Amino acid sequence: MTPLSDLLPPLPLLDRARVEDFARALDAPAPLRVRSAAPASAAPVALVGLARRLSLAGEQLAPAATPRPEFRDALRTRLVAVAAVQPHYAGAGRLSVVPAAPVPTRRGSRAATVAAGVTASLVALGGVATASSQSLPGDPFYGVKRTVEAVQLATADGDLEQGQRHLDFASTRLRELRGLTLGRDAFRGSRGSLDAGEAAGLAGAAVADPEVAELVRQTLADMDAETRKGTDLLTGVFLSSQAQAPLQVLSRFTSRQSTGLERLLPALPRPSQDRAIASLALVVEVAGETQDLMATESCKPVCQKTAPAPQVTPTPTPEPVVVQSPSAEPSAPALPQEPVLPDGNSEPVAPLEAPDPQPGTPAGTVPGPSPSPSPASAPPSPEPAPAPTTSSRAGQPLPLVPLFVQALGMTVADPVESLRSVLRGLS
Amino acid sequence: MIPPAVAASGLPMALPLPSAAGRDDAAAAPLSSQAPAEGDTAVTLALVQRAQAGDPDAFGELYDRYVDLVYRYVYYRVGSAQVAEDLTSETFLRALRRIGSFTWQGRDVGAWFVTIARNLIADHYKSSRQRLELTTEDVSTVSGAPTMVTDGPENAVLESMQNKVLLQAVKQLNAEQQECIVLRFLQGLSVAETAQAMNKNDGAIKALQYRAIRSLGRLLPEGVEL
Repeated sequence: MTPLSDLLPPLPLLDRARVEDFARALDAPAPLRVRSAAPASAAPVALVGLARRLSLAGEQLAPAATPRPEFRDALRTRLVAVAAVQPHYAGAGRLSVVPAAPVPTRRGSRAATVAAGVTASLVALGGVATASSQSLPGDPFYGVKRTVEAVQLATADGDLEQGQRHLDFASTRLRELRGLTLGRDAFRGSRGSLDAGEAAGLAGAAVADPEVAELVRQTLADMDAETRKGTDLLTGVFLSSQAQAPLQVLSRFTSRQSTGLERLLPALPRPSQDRAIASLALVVEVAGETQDLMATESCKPVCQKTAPAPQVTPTPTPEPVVVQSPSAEPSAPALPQEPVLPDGNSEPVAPLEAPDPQPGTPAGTVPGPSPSPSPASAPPSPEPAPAPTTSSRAGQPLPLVPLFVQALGMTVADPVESLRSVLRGLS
Repeated sequence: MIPPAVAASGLPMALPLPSAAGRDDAAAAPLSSQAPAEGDTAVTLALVQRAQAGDPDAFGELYDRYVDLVYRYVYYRVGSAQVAEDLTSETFLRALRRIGSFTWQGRDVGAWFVTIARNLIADHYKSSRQRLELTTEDVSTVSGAPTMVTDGPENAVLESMQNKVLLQAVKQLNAEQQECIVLRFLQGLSVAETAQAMNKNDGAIKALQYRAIRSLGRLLPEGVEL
C-alpha cells in the first residue's frame, strides 16, 4: 500500500517555509499547555498548540502505555528460554544449540557486564566471523556477516582505514554477486574468467528466479553505497593531507572492480543488467576523478589554465608522448577516447595529463591489468577540490568506456547504448 | 522538546542516534540516563552481534532496552493494553527468529523492532472486523494517573475526555501520519529519532509532522478547546 504522503506532490516552496517554521516552533521553549483560547487567525499557533496538547496527552497516558511489570518479566523469561534452544550459527560453520544459561536479572552493573561481554564475544566469535564470511545474500545468517562488517567499521582507526574498509566491502558485494549468479564456487574461487557462452547459459538460470533478481538489485545498491562512502572518505584524506596513498587505494580498487563488473555483466539476469551498468558507471567515474586528482597533485601550478585547443594538445606544454601513446593506453586522455565523444571538436581532456613531468605517468598512476578501465576523459560530475582543472569539462557528457567496447574499437555516440548492444550480441 | 514527565518516567534510550552529522540539535539529548549516544550505539552493536551468535542474555538485554518503546508504540496505535501485550510478544518473538538476518546498516536495531511491530499492527487491522477504540477502562485509568497535572476533578475528567477524542482522531489518520504522531508527539521522540524509526530522513519527517498535525486539526470537532 502506497503511503498517502508518497502520493502527495512535494510541498511547494511556500509550504516548505511553513514546515520549517513549524519544526522550529516545536523546539522553542514554551509553556507546555496552551490554556488560553488560540486566536483563530494564526494557523501556526493553533498547530503548535495541537502538537503540545498531544505531547501532554502522551505524558498523561504514559502510565497506561507502560507494560505491566508482570507481563514484561514474563515475556523476557520466555524470550531468553526460546533463544537458548534456538539453532544459531556457531563457529566452524556448524549450526548448534547453546545449553540454557542462568538468567541474571540484576541491572546494577549492566554497563560493566556488557563491556565484559563484548571483550569475551570478540574472542569467541572469531569462528563465527570466519564461518559467516562464506554466506551469500539470502542465506539465513547473512546478517551476521554484515554485522561483523559493521563492527570492523566501528573499530577502524581513522578515515583512511575506514575508507579502505568500505572499498573492501564493495569488493565483497561484487564477489557475492558472482556467487548469486554463478554459484557458490564462483564466490569462493578467486577470480574466474568466464567465456560468453558459459555466462549466457548461467544467466538463463538466474533470470528465472525473481528472488535472486531482488537480491542482486539490493546487493548492487549496497555495493554502490560502499563505493561512495569509501571514495568520499579517501578523497577527503587526500584533500586534507595530500598523501598519495588513498589515491592509490582507489586506483587499485576501481581497476579490479570495473574489470570484475564487466566480466559479470553478461551473466546477470536481464533486468539487473541496466542496474549493473549504472554501478559500473559509478566505478568508472570514481576512476576518472582519482586520475584527475593524481595528476593535479603533480602539476598543481600549471593546471590552472584550461586549454581551448580542439584536440588534446594543451596550450601550456604540449606533451606529444602522451598524445601519441598507443591506443592501448586508455588513461591517455587522447585520441582513443575521442570516438566516444559526440563530436571530434570536444574540449581537451589532456590539460591534466599533459604538463605531467613523467610522460608515462598516466599508465603508471593506474596500476592493474594493462587495459586500464579508467578513462581519464570521464568528467566527474561531483567535483572534488581542484576546480580549475575540471571547469573545462563542465559541458562534456560522461563517456563510459567499458573495457570491451574500447577493445572492440567501436565508435559510438552513446556509450551506454553501445554497451547494451554488445550485451545483446552476447546473449 | 521532551516533556519533563516523559523523561522522568524512565523511558529507556529510545533510539541511539547515529554519530554522524544531521542530528536534530534541539532534541539531541538521549532520553535515558545511560552513556552518550555514540558509546551507546557501540554497545548496542555489540549486543546485536552477540545475539546473532546465539547468546540468549544478549537478546534479553536488547529486549530490556526496547520493550517500552515497542509496547508504547503499539499501545497508542491499537488503543488496548491486551492487544498491545499480544503484539509486543509477537514482535520480539519474530525478531528473535530473524535475528540472524538482521543487517546492521547504520540503522538502529530499535527501528527494526518498530518495523516488525508496524507490520504486525497492519496485519492485525486487516484481520480485525472493526477498528478498535479506547475502552472505558483505559480512560478511567488515565484520569486516576498520579502523574497527571490538573487543577481539580472537573479538569481531570475534561482532560481525559479530550485525550479520548484526540486519540480517536489520531486513529483516523492514514498509517504514516498516525505513526508519525504517535512516535513524535505521544512518545516524544525527536525528529532524528522518529526519522530513524520510520526509515526516512529528517526533512521528510518535518514535512510529515506538519501535514499530520494539519490533518488532525481538520479531523477534530469544532470547538474542542486546547
